[in-house]
Amino acid sequence: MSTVILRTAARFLVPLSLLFALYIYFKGHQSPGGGFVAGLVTAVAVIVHRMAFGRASLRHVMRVRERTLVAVGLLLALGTAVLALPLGLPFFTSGHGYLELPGAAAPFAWATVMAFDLGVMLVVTGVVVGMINALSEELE
Amino acid sequence: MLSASLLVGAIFAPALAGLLGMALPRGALGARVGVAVLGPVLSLAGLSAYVAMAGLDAAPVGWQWMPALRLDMMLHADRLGLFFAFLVSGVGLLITLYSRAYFGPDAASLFRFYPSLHLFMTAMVGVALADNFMLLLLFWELTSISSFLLIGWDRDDPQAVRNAMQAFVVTAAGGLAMMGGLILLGVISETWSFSELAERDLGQLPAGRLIAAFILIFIGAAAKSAQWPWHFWLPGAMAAPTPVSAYLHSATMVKAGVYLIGRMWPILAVALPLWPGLIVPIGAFTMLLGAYVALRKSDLKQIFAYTTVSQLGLLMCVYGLGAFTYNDEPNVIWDITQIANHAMYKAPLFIIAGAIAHVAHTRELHELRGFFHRGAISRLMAALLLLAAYAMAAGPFTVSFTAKEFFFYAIDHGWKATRSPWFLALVAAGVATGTLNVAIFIRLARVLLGRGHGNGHDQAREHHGHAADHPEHESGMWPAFLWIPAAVLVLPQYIGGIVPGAYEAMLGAIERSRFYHAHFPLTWQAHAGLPLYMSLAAFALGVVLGFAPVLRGVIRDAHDRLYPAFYNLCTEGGGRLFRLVQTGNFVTYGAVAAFAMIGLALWGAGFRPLAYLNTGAALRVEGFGDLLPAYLLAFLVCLGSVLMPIVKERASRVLVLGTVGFSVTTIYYLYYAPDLALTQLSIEIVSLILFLLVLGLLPRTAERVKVRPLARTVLAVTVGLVMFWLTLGAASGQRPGLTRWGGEGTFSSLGEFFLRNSDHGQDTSHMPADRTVPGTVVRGRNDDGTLKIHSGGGGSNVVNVILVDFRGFDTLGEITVLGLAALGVWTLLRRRRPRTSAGRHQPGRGAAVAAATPAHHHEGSVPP
Repeated sequence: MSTVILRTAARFLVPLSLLFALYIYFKGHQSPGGGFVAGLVTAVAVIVHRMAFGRASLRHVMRVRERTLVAVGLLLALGTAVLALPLGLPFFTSGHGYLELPGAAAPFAWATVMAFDLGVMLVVTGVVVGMINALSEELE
Repeated sequence: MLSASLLVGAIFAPALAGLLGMALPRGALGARVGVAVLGPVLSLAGLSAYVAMAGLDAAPVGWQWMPALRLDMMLHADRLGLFFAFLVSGVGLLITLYSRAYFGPDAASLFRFYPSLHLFMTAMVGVALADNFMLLLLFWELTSISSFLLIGWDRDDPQAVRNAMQAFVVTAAGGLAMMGGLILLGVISETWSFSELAERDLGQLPAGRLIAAFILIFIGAAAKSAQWPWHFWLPGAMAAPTPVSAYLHSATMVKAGVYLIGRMWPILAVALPLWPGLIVPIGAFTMLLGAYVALRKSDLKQIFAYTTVSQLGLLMCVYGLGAFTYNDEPNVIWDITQIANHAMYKAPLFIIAGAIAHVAHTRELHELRGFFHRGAISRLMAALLLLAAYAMAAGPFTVSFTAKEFFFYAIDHGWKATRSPWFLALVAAGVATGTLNVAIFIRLARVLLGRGHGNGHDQAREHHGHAADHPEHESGMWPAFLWIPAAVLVLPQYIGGIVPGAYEAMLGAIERSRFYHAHFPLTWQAHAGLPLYMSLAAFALGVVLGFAPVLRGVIRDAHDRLYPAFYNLCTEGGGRLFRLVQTGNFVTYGAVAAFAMIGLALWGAGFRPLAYLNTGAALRVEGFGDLLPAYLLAFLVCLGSVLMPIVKERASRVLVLGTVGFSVTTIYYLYYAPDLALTQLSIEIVSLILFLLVLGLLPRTAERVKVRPLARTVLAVTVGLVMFWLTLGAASGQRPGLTRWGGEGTFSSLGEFFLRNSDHGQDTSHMPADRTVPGTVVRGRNDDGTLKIHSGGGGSNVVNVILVDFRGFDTLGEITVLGLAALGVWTLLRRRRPRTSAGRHQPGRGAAVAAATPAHHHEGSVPP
């Protein structure tokens, strides 16, 4: 499937998709998006890269194994939920606040659910990329 | 708190000692024994210090853990519990020493043996002291597990492993029943510990459920304490090394069920009319059955195992009789005397049985004829065995005699209270059991003291070739510990039996004042009455039976066939069920799932599909123009769906499926669900990639499969209608009285709650920190230190707020499942096999299955 057209398009599409994924991850709480979709978009970008440039190139670009992504994501999500316990709050209590950034027009609104969402994103990315990768390897 | 720490220390000291022993180098024999002895010694020290500090009547102590779930670490060292804890640690110390002598200088065996034994010690002390139901259950199951490890200690002996499984399955199944009973009891009484339950008025509880809870708990107790019809596991457990038999399967663990019933007795016995009706018949039958089978066994350990079953039946029976009140006086039990008495003669019997197996290399009675005359050590062991067996026969001048008199007295008491004719049967059972015990003693004495020679010491090896029974002989002090623990235990039987004051000093403090009869003598005083006549009859008949040439020969316990039958039923029935359910046919799975969904949905609606629909609201049409695109797209979706089964080529099918997906995506986008549109779009792309990958594996066209188009059409249409109805219901449903929490007012649907609270919601500042409500967000602190709490999710994108905040727990579960599924796929795909004509082996099977698990279809091909 690695044609010139795909390779050329991938050079533009993959970075753009990754950037878009980041964007919808950060905007997720207020406008369409969120960790799940961001994970899917990331995965599609990674797979397009793999289709265009092959397995070796993917391993070169993405050093982390998919399994690691899933494990880290799950731990991150669980950690966010458990974090409330030592503070004497119920399981899964989330906290958020505002961070004044020098030079920024508006303060950055942070929330612990962002870490949770990041966990979701990592798991989704890891699962989709890993499954398709494994299937492709089976075919090659 | 110090007293609680002492108890916790007493519980966990043995297990810690066991772990410490595992850290020692394997050859360090002396150090290993030293550390192992330390466990029970520390446990005893902790218990003694506790008694010195808190006395015998202290309230429960411990720590809260999860109050919301009623989980805590509350320990209640009442008299019964303390007695048990002392019994377990004390006998545990003797058994630790005995094990060293039993296994000899075999460091490798002890390396594995001591930790298991000490784990049991911890579990059993925990059972004795736990106040909370769940804590008790935890330790209870631990005793089952450690018992399993110890019975199957000889891993190379398939019989031992089988018996270990049998014991574990029976006691763990009982444990499950007991868990159900304890939870039910906790739910209906709203108390989760014995000490709290004792203060509740049980008359107010729903009688039916109380009875159900009691029956379930009794099943657990009866399975553990080897009551008929579950008793067969205990003789099977004799496959364990003898120290285990002496410790777990006579003195301590099998008493756990009796102990539990003893704990419940003051609480439930009088309140529950079923109490004696259930416990007494089963206990009495077990008592009689055990004694009879014991008479017809020839292996020493089997004899003692069945007399243990018998004695456990008697103990149950004693507690069962405790329900009868006569002359305003509840039945005298002296249960601690009964339990202590059994430990003081049965553990020595086992200990000596193991010692005899060491010396004579056999435990078969017919090979032990004249064992007494075979030398000084034989003489000593035979004498000890007979002393203990005499106590088993409840001969005069032993504590056992007093105990049996008390048992007969309890029967007498119950008879006077009820005047029920059934007590005649109970009297007969009591006399018969006594008779059988006396006969067993006389036969043992005749064999061991008799002249003549047992045949052969050597062929015994095949019979019950417990390798550990015959280690090389060693010199030094350790061989003496083959019999010293027995002497230590059996001595109090006679001291207490001959000198009543000594017995009073031993157990008086712990036994007395537990019950209402402070004035009743702790020791037996002769007076003519039914109990004495019963004892005399038992002696007379027992002596006759012991010498008479009747009831000879070895029999098998018919109940031994129960477990294999049950096991076969489970494995074969399970296999049959598996083949019935797991057909491997994708169409069947799909149909089952569809029918289940339809049934569940209808059942959830109370089989009134129209009840919850507010059709007016849902079908409010804003105007044809607004919905025009939706109609067009819906037409595309329908067209694609109808085309799917008609199109033959797989590539076209993928395209048609894509059309359906992208149409749905567009509908989402047009009607204000950009989140869904985005997600659906990504999913469509990912599935397209997956299809492209898989298509290469499959033949171009789908195989012609014989189908029943009508049935499938009906199923498809029904599923479609139900989904339509569910969607409509979810969008419009007006279920009255839905949740009210945290945020403002009541909500007609959960969706409305989420919508209103997603962004800011009501500011519930000044709420104390411990009053947070699910779905709330903390926003810093107020001036007075309380948490600023908002009941919202702090985001205007409801979908994402639900995902990561309101229903974050669900999401966590979902991504866990996702990760597990991926692990499964990786594992399956990693089984790389040479790929030959994939997916063509089984035409007719779902092609998709063949594609998803290519490895599955190559079972025939041999990997290089």
